[in-house]
Amino acid sequence: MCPRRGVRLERLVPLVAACLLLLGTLSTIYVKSFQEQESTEFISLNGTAVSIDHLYATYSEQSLETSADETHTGIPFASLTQEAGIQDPAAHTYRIIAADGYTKEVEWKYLQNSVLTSDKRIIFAQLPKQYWVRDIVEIKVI
Amino acid sequence: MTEKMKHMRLVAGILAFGSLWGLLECSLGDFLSDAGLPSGVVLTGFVGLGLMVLSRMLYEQRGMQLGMGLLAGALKFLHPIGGCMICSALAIAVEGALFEVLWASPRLRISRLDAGTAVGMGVISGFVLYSLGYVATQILTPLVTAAPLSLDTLPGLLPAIFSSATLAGLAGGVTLAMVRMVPSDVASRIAHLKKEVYFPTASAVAVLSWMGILLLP
Repeated sequence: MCPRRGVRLERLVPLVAACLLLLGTLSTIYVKSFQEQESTEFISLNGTAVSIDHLYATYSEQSLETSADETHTGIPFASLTQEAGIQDPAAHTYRIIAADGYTKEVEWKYLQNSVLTSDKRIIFAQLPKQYWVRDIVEIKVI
Repeated sequence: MTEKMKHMRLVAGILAFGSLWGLLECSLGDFLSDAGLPSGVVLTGFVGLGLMVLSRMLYEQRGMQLGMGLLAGALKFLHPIGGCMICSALAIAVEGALFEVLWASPRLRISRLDAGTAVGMGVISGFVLYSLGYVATQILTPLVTAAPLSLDTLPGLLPAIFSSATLAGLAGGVTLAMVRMVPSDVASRIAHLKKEVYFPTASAVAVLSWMGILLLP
């Protein structure tokens, strides 16, 4: 019994490992082909391309203290909704999309206490770092 | 060796390896990110998996790696600089639990595995620990922090998670190959050190790791 079981383990483990590597390779091809977007100096705000330089030239920076006692500076998210001409921003949820496809949907109550940093990362005062999307390329109103 | 002594040696081993894991997680994460390296892949595929595999080979005791993961996760969470690291802390604890599941079979004794099976298990471990750890934190973090849980975006993240997990899997394969190179007599000697040497050494590793975590810039 034991030698037969051993042979099966020796065959099964490399087979499973190869399948996982194949899954990962196919996923990489999919991500590179369909999900990744080129990172530029622009962010698409509800369909309108806005440059980071323009945001920093137009709106004043604010400091934001997070629940982890860190202080970050950036443009308040409210300024972005103003730039995009979004009516009644509190009535919407926002989808924040990174260049690598990482996406988070966040309600206004959290976004009103957030800033967009110069390296295109959004920082929330009340949400954990999992929500601090890096290298943002698009913000959609949903 | 009495059962009580075996138990005490195991607890000391969990403290030493778990604390070292916690120190490396706290110190290397930002450094790797700043250097443009995939910190999650390196910390899971090399650091976390490496320490768990090494400790499993030395002690051959199931459950130990879960204890190490819980301790390392707690240290990451309590790390005073850099703020609340709840996502990373949960990921580390989940990795410890997943390792126990993957390596639950008594047939998977690292020192007795042939090279192909060992590297294959390294690939599977790296891939599964990274991908399921990532998914688990996406679900658990909102639950623990009372943040909004949004599962709608999770399926869209899976290709990117599997893509990064491929690197973690390859790192895991390399890690297993390297750990297997530790001669079995050396491993046995370390695991059966005299108690006059073993306990002070394990305590020193744990205390120095805690001090390192407290003093980190």
